[in-house]
Amino acid sequence: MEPPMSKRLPLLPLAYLTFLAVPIYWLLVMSFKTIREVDGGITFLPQQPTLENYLFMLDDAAWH
Amino acid sequence: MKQSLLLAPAILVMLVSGVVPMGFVAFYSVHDSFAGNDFVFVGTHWFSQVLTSPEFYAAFGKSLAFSALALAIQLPLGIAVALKLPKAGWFATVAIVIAAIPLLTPTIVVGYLWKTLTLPNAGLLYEALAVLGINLNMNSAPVNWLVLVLMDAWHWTGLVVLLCYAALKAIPEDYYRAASIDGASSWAVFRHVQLPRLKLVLLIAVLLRFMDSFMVYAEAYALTRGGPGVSTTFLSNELVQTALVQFDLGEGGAISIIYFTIVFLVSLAFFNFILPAREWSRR
Repeated sequence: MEPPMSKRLPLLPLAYLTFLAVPIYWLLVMSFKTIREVDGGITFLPQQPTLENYLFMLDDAAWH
Repeated sequence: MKQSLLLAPAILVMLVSGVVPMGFVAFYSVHDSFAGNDFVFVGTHWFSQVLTSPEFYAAFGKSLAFSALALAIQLPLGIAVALKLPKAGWFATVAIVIAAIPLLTPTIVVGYLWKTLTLPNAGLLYEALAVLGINLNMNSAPVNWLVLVLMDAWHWTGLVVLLCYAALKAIPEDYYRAASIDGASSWAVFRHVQLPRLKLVLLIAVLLRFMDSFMVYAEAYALTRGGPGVSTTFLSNELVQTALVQFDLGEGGAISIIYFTIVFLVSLAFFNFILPAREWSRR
């Protein structure tokens, strides 16, 4: 008998890792969207990729 | 003498960061204060008030229930994922990294991330469920609990996975060979080869997950400020509300001391389980 950690497609880890990755992906993608796009419904990639959110935060006196 | 001198900086830090604040809290818990600087000794008044207050027991019950749910989901899931992960290779590496990312995310970020996911229009979870014809109603207490439990599983199951995976990797190949010569089923391998080796890390995982989930604060705060109503107002939120919003230092102090005592006693009990298990795993 093979040790249980082996072969076959590891479906459970794949499902679990997808569950972990989706919110991370969403957080990343959201950070490059314009506020209008974030609020305007679901888009899976930023339609007009922007750094304005980052610039806004780096400009914010409360952060530094 | 030399050794104890080397310990001095650590002891100093612990005194300043742990013992002194705890002393203040203990002081507050037996005094009544006026305007925050005029203190009158009131003995056990605040303790009897807290221990007879229905809000305290309600918050305590909610914290316990949350911890129970967190443990009931995250331990089996973590063990199962660790068992199914390949022992080596790129997939295992990627999996470990992804499992570790939530662990590195600050709790308040996790709270706001999941709040965003549940928003109409902007939220992926909300919109995905809407496609399936389900309305994610965050004004409903059970839905709120569901999201909180899901959020905590997202945040912390990776800890159980990493601990178990490390312990499983340390099991020598010979054990599996011996088991297969004996014709052991995969359940028997799990029960008699893997589970005994996981005992120590599982005890540590239960202890860490209990302490963290019992002290959960930022997640519920970010999601709905403990709402709807007080349905997700845990002991920690109740404490902050009492001590820092209503500024009842005495009652807040008493809640803190009781809260601390509970966590301390549970940790102590677990420590007594962990020490013998550690001896065992060394053999």
